[in-house]
Amino acid sequence: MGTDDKEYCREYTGFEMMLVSACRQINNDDIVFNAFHWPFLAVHMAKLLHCPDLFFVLEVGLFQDELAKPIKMPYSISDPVLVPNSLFVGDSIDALSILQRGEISIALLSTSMVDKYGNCNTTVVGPYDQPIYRLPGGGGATEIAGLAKKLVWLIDDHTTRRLPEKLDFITDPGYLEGYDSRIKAGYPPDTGPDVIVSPFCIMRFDRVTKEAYLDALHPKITVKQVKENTGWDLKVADNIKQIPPPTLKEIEVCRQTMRDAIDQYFVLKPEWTTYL
Amino acid sequence: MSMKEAINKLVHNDGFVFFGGFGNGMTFSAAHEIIRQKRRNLKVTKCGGGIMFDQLIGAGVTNHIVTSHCWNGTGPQPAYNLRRSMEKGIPQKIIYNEQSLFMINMSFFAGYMGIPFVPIRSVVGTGIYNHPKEVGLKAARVECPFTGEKICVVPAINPDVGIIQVQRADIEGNAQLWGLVGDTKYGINACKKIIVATEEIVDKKVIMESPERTIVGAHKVDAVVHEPWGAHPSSMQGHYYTDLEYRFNYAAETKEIEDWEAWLEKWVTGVDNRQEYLKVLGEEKINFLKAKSIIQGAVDYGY
Repeated sequence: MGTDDKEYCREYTGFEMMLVSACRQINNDDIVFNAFHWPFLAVHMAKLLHCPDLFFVLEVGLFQDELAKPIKMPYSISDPVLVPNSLFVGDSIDALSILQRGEISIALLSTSMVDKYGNCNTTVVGPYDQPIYRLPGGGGATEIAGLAKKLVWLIDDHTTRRLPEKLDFITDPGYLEGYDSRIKAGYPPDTGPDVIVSPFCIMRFDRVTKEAYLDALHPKITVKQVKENTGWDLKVADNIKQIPPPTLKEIEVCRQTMRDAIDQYFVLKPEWTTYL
Repeated sequence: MSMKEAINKLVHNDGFVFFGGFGNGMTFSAAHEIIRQKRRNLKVTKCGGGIMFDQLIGAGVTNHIVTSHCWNGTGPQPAYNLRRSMEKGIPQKIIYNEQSLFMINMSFFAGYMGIPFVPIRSVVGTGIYNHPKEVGLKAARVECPFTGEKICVVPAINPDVGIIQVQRADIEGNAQLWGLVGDTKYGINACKKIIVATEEIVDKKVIMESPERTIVGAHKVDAVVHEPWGAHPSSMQGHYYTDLEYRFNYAAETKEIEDWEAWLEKWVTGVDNRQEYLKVLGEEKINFLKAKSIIQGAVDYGY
């Protein structure tokens, strides 16, 4: 980014900060597995900001490195607008095999619940046979979490309920029980969650225990606030980093992408869209 | 053959049914006819069940879904019939045979290949692998006979009958699908009986002009149904776009059981076939959804 890009936005929502922070995880030379639904926004933003050459793979079996013109975010991974604007269209097995062959350098996923080892639950809240709340199931997220080299979790609300110590059901594998349990389960050693991005902060994973710790704070957020809203005794990095706020350019692209999403019938909470 | 005749002839109570389409080309017309014909205890499968499986659950057609995901992708919003069934047993408690997207695709692939299982590097350690034993073994770990590596394997799925919606087919059933295919090619070829619903019936010569687009051959097909707009409210590349408004409203219109019953009457049981459904949809919406033509990609087949 040039120096002109370093003018920062003063007022923005936590949701916008989460999208911007997730978007910054992506590099121009990445091969990204692009998934529904918040990652879809973050990858679209990256393409418009610092990753003009970004190559991405969709689970329906489509590879693409150029956005359709006029530029508008597609409504989903299965939007027919993608097809005449892609480099390859095949089967889901084509997309999942590129993942299994280890060719995906980064993947982003949104989740409803993530635990301290980066496992995720999108199956059920409560006992499996008597659910309090039945959720959709994993879809392709199970293998994206299992096989992508650098996994970015997006969680749109930082609460103890959304970030519990232990899950009712593991839909998507993080580091399972911590330490080397993921490797023992047969997942490739260079894969696994890299960060959790929430509206408050970025968490990373301890090299040995594989437990998530607080690595960097979003502006105006305190360590106390993060710890109080996390469901386990969250450890904090010795040299905690401060994440810069969205630049004016980033926030402009973020808000346009959010407006596209609303046009495409995405449900965005009112508190996320204050500045649209 | 009409959809009514095809379903009557080929889809039977207690059967195992595959539905094609991943976002694009979903077989809604067939699903609605199955509901009208009051089939019961069907086991149903597709990679993402979406609002189609939600309708089959709410109408009491299925008691067992084999899928990796079941939700309303527009919003995204809950699939309320799925939730009612699994949380409250309304209209009945179903088995959700939890799959991951790769598992189910590779199970279709094994079925397509005519082999009992295939290995994948996924799902071990998750609840999908460990938990619901009542639906039988879905994945296992074996030792690779060549390298000694322990690897996960998933079994073949071979449904009794499969249904796809395609852009075009000839009268014998040579069917062509292009654009977003997802799991459709392997899923449909894994089936024992096949119904092809098509936007257009074309001459065999048209099929032979681009044979690489054929996803299933006439030798396997048991019924061909000329069914324009059979995939609405999903899209069909080159024909019509996804009806996002309809799909979005579906959530609020099915959240309460009384509203769901009214929805079912309006769109499914209160109409006799797809033509009548399209009258309810209305000309204005149909014109709005019609695809603008983009013809591209003529190639030289010379030799």
